[in-house]
Amino acid sequence: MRVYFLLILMLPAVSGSILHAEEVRLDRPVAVIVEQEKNLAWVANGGNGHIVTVDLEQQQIIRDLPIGQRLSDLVQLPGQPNILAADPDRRELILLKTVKDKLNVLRRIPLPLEPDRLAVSQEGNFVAVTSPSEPALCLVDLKQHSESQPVIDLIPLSVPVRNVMVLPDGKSLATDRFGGRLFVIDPVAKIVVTEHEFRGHNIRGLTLDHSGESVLVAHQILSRLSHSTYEDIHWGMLLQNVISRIPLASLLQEEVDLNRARRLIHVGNATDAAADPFDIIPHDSGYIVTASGADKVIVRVHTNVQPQTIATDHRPTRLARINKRRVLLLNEFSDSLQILEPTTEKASWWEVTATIGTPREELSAAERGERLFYDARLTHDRWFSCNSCHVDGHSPDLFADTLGDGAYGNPKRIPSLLGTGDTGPWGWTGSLTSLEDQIEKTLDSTMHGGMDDDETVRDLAAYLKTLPAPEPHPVEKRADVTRGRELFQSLNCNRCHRPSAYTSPKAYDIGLTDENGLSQFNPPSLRGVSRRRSFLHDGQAKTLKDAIEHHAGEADSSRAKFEKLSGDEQQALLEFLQSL
Amino acid sequence: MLRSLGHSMLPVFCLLLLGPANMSADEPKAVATARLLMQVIDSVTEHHIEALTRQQMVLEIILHFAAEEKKSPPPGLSRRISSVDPDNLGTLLAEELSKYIEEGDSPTSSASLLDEIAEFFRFSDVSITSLQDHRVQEQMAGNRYVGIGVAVGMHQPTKQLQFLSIFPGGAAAKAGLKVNDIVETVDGQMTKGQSLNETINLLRGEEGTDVTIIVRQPDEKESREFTLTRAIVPFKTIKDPVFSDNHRVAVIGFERSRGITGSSVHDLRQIEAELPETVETVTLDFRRLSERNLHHGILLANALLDGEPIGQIETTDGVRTVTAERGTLFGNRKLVILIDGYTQGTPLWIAASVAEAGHEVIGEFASDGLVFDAVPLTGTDFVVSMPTARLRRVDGKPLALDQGRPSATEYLSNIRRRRAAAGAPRLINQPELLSFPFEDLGEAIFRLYLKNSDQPKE
Repeated sequence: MRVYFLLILMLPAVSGSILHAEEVRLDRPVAVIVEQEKNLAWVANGGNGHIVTVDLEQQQIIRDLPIGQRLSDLVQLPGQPNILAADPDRRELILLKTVKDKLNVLRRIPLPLEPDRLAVSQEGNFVAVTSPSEPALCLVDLKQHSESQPVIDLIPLSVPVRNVMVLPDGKSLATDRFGGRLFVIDPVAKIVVTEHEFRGHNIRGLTLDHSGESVLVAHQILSRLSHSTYEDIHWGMLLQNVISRIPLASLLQEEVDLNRARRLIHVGNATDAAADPFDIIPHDSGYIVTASGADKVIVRVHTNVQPQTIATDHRPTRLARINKRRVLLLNEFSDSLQILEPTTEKASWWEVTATIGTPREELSAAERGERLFYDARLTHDRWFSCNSCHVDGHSPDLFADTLGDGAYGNPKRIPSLLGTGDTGPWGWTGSLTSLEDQIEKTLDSTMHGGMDDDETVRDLAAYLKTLPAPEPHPVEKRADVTRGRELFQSLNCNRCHRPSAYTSPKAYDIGLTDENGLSQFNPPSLRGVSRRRSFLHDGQAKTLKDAIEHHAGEADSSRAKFEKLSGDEQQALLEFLQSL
Repeated sequence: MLRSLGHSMLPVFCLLLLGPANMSADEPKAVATARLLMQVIDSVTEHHIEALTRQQMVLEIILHFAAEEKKSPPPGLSRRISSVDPDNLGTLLAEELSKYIEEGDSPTSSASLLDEIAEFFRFSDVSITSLQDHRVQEQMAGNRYVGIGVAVGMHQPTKQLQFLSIFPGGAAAKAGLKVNDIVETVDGQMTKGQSLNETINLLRGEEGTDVTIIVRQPDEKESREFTLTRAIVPFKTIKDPVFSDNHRVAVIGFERSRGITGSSVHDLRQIEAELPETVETVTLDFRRLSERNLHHGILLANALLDGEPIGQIETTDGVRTVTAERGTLFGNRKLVILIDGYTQGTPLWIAASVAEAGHEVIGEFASDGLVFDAVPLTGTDFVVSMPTARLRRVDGKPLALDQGRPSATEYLSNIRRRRAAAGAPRLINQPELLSFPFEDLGEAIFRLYLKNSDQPKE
């Protein structure tokens, strides 16, 4: 009890103020918690880091609470009137207590990495935290009441993860940020129990299904045998928007082939596609899922009933249940919340019955470009968005067959767009000398949405130019990196991979040929090369060393010199490359 | 499916006397014909997977012209063709053709010339179509036909286009047009006096565009006006599945008029989603299914196989192997495929790879695995369609294991037989008659006693 009073005295009370709805804005709402008894919703702003309190009965914003610098997620702690928020800019978790419609900061927990999504254990004793760049799951012990260092564990994983949920048996399920890997982690033993990979990418939603025995995973599937033609896009051949239903038992066993164990459910259809499935919640014996790229929500109350598509505001992402019938949804780009519920006449017919919040009117070119990047209006029937393949501007290291290389039949690895602003020329053959030209070509020959006008191209280019180069791996041995840089020059690698972007304008023949006989390639930028899962245009090299050893033709002498290096020297060169 | 222009190579044989492909008014018709023929021959040599040699094709063409004109071919023709410098083949052809082609014969536009030329290449499954017709064929193959959703014919009494059927779900159906409606105007233009093709071209347009038509039922005086928006009119390509009594087996078949299209996998996904949980075995009926579009075949194979190899594709550029991606349409259900002697092209290839992957295939691998593609004919508005690839099994063996490769003699005699059937009457000698199967004897005897003025039935 004494500790409790002490905390009260020390707390800066964050009461905020009651404001009229017009004065307070939602600013990129990214997470929401609904307090059903109070008919209140707490919405985290990804933009200004405030938490906004919404009265769901009056359908109004009633409070604006400056909590963090930027927020990425919110979770309710079970059995307590407490909420946990994640601030990626300040790299901390914020423990908050709800008092009526206000929040008091109880504690700030600094983290060794930038947090993204949160999942709290059933007893509320720990929280799992994912991070955008660190390939690890962070476990934070919440039992601490004292001011001493909180207990934080980092479980290293093979790739960065985005979503995390707690399974019924207390283990954590974390999913690949870009590709198709799934990890089950034991938070008590602090080890990875199983690691699986399935064919799929852009995993955005995780939930238990109504039976509690399977997990529903919302994601996409890309086919390298399809072509980016109008026809293949129209029939869902190139990109599929899906939900995988995976039995829990399969996830918990090491040797299971998830491609066989899962059941695919298609979201959307020809003429009514549902790009970028995001959040998914169970409903009746079916589900509700947001299609964040297509500005739609799909409701399927039962697998025997046809799904219903409902149009929403711009970029619907998270869902939260208000009660048995009503669901709240966040629209990230229109800064609004919407309430979704079945109308009374036909219990299975759903409608948006309220919209709270309005979109910003003044947007810069880069902000408009960002909205376009995630908008499936750029493609035929809204099948996919730029983000579908260039996930958050990066790449899932999958393969797509577009006309970027001038023909079909030769799929190529999807490049990351991080830092693309200064890694021209563009395209695998380096044939596009301006970013705008590359964008226009993609809009025209890959997306087929009829939106390749100058303004769209300009705005997208403005946005892409704001994407920073990917963060390299943390450098451990500085001396190795320096030695590696020297070797990079003495081996002549810098002839084609010229600093500072580690690319150059021409195309070279390094002894690689694609299925159509194309052998002249523009050297891809080496920045962020440590973030790739495979190398070369067809991904045939699985490690950096492999990639170097595949260099022949005009690069043969460099490769020969590399092979003559001692083991330590080769390692130094690789360390240098990893540091880019 | 058009190959990208960067991939198709310009004819190697650019003959000196043959300049740009467009007709010049002064060019003798024989020369123009020879030039276009050489262009097609070059394309065939470049891309056709079972191409005859240039010399063989030139010989066949001259023989065909001679037969058409009911003249004897000149003596020593074969020897002359074999010994001429390859660069002068075109000149030789032009010289020979001038014996059969008269200047005043027919209109001298490239379009009609190519129509005539198309006849000569039917022996090797080569066809020449206009770019526009080809685009429509591609749309049909992709099940993304854009139109108002009607089948048309010529109403003879008024010589105007008539709707013979109205497709459900199309713009015409939704607007309430009726079967047998005669089209009087299209976007203000009167259709009287137009050829069927001319009216069809007026009705065609891009997806989302409008067309205004005035129609009338044949026995009514009242005209009705409609404005329709052209849209994709998808066809039903897969029959409704049939089940065993206990619903453990589902049989899925293709609408034969559609075959395997660009929407097949999508349509099968819809069916799969509705299959009862009791279904353990899915049977696909590929009997009498002949399909020549490689890309659609690959997409279907990819959906049926789970990461297993699909097979090899042999083109004039070489051989490549294709492997399916992980994941299958029908999940863990058992797959059975039915084939027969008429299963040709990609379905036969798919059956072979499915069998290789351990599923069951019932029927004989009897036919060929040829797939077709269309190559633009440079300088014209036409494309040349021909077999451009041969599909092989995963281990490289041919699909029909029991059949050897036909000898050149057999191949050429097939060509002559087909040419005969195409219009030039041909006499049959008695030894040949003996090789005809029983059911064909009637036809054979008819030909044995064929007089010059008779035409064989198609």
